[in-house]
Amino acid sequence: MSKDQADQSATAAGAMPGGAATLLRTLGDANAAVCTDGFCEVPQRPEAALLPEAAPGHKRDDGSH
Amino acid sequence: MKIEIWSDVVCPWCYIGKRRLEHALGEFEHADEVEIAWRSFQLNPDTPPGTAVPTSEYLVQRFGPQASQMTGRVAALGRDEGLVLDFDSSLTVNTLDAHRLLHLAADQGVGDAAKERLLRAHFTEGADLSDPETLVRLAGEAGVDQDRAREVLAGTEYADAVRADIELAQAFGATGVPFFVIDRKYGISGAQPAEAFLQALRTAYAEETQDA
Repeated sequence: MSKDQADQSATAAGAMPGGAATLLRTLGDANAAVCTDGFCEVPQRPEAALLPEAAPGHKRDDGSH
Repeated sequence: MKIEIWSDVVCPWCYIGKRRLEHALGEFEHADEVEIAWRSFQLNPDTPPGTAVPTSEYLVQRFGPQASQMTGRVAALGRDEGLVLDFDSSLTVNTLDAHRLLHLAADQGVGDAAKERLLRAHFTEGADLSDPETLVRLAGEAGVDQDRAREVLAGTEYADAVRADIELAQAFGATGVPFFVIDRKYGISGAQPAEAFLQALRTAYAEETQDA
């Protein structure tokens, strides 16, 4: 195992003390675009009048998942 | 300040988000204190290794005719960032080998250059990132030792590192990419506008400086 791998393994384990996911404070726009499971839709925004329908598979990402 | 970025090389929002973050860093007063670490994430881990399917065909199969509208909208937003996202020529592949090479590139100090090279190859040049020789060529163009790249691709080296990255993303609660983590304290999800990235960087920096 390389040093890099060892470092990552250690941090991965440290990220879940007691099995609980580490909580991060969320910054930024909660509705920013993400690709989820291969689906990469443009997020809906109030001013996006040209994008009327919700995109199946798109998950609103508020950082709380 | 360390920014870890989970992304996949076949993720258009990751490419757009990378460019927007770069724009934000161009305005950030403390950019010289920022270290970037690329982390692996696979959007299509079930794609059989060694196969390449036209992305437009793959998306229509998975999501129906609306897929072409989706790619058209994403491509238009990519153009706003100066990126050419050619979904008609790009090929959907299993990106495990590409990520293994990116870990090698990071170890050789050219992680960012390799990331950029693979994104451009996939989205703009229609490169087949499942083809080992293509990966070796692209890695070499980014500054990776090609003999070492060939050696890594011939085995399973760095596969553990890729899996560890994905597990860590899951531990942080990420279900999509791009996903940004600053100093293991702050999470930023998605291809934020550059202004939002800049504000987030300033907020994190100010709070961490205050805490120090």
